[in-house]
Amino acid sequence: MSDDIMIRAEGVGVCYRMDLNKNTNLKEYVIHALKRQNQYRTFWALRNVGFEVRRGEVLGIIGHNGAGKSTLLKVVAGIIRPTEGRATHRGRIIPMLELGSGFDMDLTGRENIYLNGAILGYNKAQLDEKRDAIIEYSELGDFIHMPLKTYSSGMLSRLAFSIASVIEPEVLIVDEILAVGDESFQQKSRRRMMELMSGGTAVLFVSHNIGQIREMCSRVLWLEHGEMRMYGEVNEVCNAYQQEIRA
Amino acid sequence: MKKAMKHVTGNTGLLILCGLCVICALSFLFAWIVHDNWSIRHEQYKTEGMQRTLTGLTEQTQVRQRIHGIHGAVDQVTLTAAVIGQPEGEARLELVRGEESLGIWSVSLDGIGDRTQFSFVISPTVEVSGDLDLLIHIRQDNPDAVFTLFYADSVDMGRYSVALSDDGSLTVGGNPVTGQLDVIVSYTARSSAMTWYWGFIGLIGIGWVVTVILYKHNRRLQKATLLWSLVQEMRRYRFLLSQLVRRDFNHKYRQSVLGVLWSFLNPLLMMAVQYLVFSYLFHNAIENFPVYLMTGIIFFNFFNEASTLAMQSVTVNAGLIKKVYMPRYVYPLSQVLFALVNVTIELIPLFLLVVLTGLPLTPAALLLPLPILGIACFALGIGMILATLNVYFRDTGFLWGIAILLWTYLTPLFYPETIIPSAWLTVYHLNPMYQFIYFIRCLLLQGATPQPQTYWICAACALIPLVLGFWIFRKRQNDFIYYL
Repeated sequence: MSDDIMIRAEGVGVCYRMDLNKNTNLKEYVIHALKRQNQYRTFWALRNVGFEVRRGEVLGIIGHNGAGKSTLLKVVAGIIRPTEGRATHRGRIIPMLELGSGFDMDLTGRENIYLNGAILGYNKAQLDEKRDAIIEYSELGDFIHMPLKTYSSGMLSRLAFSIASVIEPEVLIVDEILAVGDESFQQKSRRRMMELMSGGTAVLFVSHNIGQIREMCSRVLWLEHGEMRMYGEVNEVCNAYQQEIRA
Repeated sequence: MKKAMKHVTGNTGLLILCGLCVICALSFLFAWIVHDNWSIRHEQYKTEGMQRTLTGLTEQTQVRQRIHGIHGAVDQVTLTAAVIGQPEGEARLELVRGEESLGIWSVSLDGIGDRTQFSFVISPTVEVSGDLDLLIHIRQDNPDAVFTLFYADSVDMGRYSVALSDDGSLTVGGNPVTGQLDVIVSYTARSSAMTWYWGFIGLIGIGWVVTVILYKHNRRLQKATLLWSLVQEMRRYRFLLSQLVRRDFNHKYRQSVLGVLWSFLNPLLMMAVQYLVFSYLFHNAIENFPVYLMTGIIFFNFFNEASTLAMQSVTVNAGLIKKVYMPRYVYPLSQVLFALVNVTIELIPLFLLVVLTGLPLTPAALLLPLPILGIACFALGIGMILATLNVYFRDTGFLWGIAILLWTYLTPLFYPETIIPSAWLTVYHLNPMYQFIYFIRCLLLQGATPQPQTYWICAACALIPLVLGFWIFRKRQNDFIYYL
C-alpha cells in the first residue's frame, strides 16, 4: 500500500446465507436435516466493490436503503469478514456506527468512559489524558459520578459522542452525521464532526443528505443492490443520482 | 523513560536472561516443594483380603511367600493373624533374596488377637531389588489354642481386584497353595522423578532461548505464526479485557448490600448445607469432611460458572459484536477471567476453613494456582466450543445445564471415591474435573504434591480442550455475525 492510501477495498463481496427454515434450535435443525429440508438461499449484499481512500480524503457513499452501504462500512471496520476480496486499512480506526457501544447502565459515567473507550480501542494512557476533556465536552458536570441509568437519553448520547470524538483517528467511518442532544449541543457536535472529517483523516461517509455529501466529499461511490453503480468525482455522481431519483 | 523501556525489550540478551532467571526461580521453588514427595517414595506392597486361613501349620512346616517387584529398603513386614484361644510362642520371619538370607526377625504371639495385624520391624532396613522370599515359621506352645495366618485368593490392586493364579508363590510345608498371604511390605523407594524434572526444566530453558532468538531475528516468522500474533493481540487488548472484567465484577457486587462478602458466605453456606445432608452418609469415610466438601463446591462451581458464562458470552454481546470490531475470543476469555477473579476471592474462606479444622498448611499449598489455571484453561476450551454451538443453536444452554448437573454427580464432590465400583474406576477417572479436584485435595488435605503422572494428566486435560476449543472458535468466528 502506498504511503497515503489509508483505506483500500479490492473486489469486496459479502454473501449472506439465508436459512429458509430459520432453524434456531437443535431439534428443528435435526428434523429438517432428516427430511432433507435444510435449504439455503445465498444473497450477495455486496459484490465487486473496490475503492481507495487517501489521507485527508472524504469518500461519500450513497444509495437507496438496502443497497449495502452499512454492510460496506462494517467490512471496512473489520466487523464483517468479506466472503471474497479484501478490505484493509491503516492506523487507528473509529467506526461511528453506533455511539455508546457497550455502555453499562449500572456503572457511573466516569467508569463508562474507560469501558467504552477500551471497546473503541483506546488505551489507558490516552483515556487518563483525555478523561477531563471528555467530561468537560459532554457538559455532564457532577452527573459524571452517577450511574448511567439515571441519565436522560440526551445525556447518554452526549457522553457517547464525547468519548467517540475526543481522539483524532487516522481512519473515520461515519454512518450519517450524528446530531445529538439539545440545539446547542447539536451544533457543537456537528461542528466537531466536520472538524474531524476535514482534519486530515481518511473518512468513509454514508449519508442520505446529498447536500452534506456535496459539501464534505471529494469523491462519491454510488451503490445499488450491492454493486457499484458509479464511482467518481462528487458532482458528477451526485447529479446522476439525483436525476435518477427524480425520474 | 519510554525510550529506556524500548531499549530493554529490544535487547535479546537481556530478554533471554530475564526469562531464564524466571524459569530458574520458579523451578527451584517448585523443586523445593515437591522434592520430599518425589525423590523418596514410601510405598507398600499389599495383599489384603482376609478371605481364607492357612491350614496345616505345624511347628515343622514353613510358609514361604515369594513377592515380586520390590525396589527399595524394606522397613516393615505385616501379617494378619487368625487366632482361636490364647496362643503362646513366637513367629519367626526370615527374608531371603535369591539364595541369600537377609536376616531373621521374630515376634511374640502373646496378645495377638483374631483378625489383627502384627508386624516385624526390619531395623536396620534391608535393600531389595526384585524378588523377595518371606519364610515364616510359627512355634505355638499352647495345645488349646490355634494360631494361623490369613491369605487371599484374589488381590486388591487398590482400584480393582484380580483373581490370583496358581503361580506357586505361596507354599506351606513345600506344598503350593493357590493365593497369596495377607501381607504388607513397607519400603522406601528412591524415585528418578526429580532427575526427569530437571531434564524437563533444562528443555524449557533451551526452548526459551531458541524461541526468543528465532523470533527476534526473523521478522517473517513473527508475521506468520499464530502464537506471536496472539502475544501481540494480548498486549493490545489487555486494557479492554481488564475493563470488561471490572464491569462484570462491579455488576455482581455493587447491587448487593454485603458485596464481596457474598463470595465468602456463599461457599461456606453451601458447604454447611451439604455437610448437614451428607455427613450422616459419608462422614466416617472421609477425613476432614468440611474441607473435602468445600474444595469440591468451590472448584466445580468455578468450572460451571466459567464454562457457562463463556458459552453465553457471544450471544449476550451480540449488539457489541455487530457494531465494534475486537477479536471475538475476547468475549469468552473475559468471562473466564471474571470467574477466575471470583474463585480467587473464594480461596479466602477455603483457607480459613483449612486452618480452623486444624489441617497443617504446607508449602504444597503454593502449588494451588496450577490446578486452578488448569480448570480455567479447560473451562475456556469447553466454553469456546459451546459458545460456537450456541450461536447456531440457542438451546445449547439448556443442554449444557443438564450436562453440568450430571457432571456434578459424576465427580466426587460430596461422596468418597470408594463408593464407585472398582470395575468402573478407570472410566470414572477419565473425568478431567476429577483429576483437577484430586490434585487440589492432595495439596490441601494431604499437604503434599501429587505424583508426576497427575501433572501430566492435568496438563493434557487443560491444554487439549483449550487448543481444540480455540481452533473451532477461530474457524467459525467470522460466521457468527450472520447468525446473531
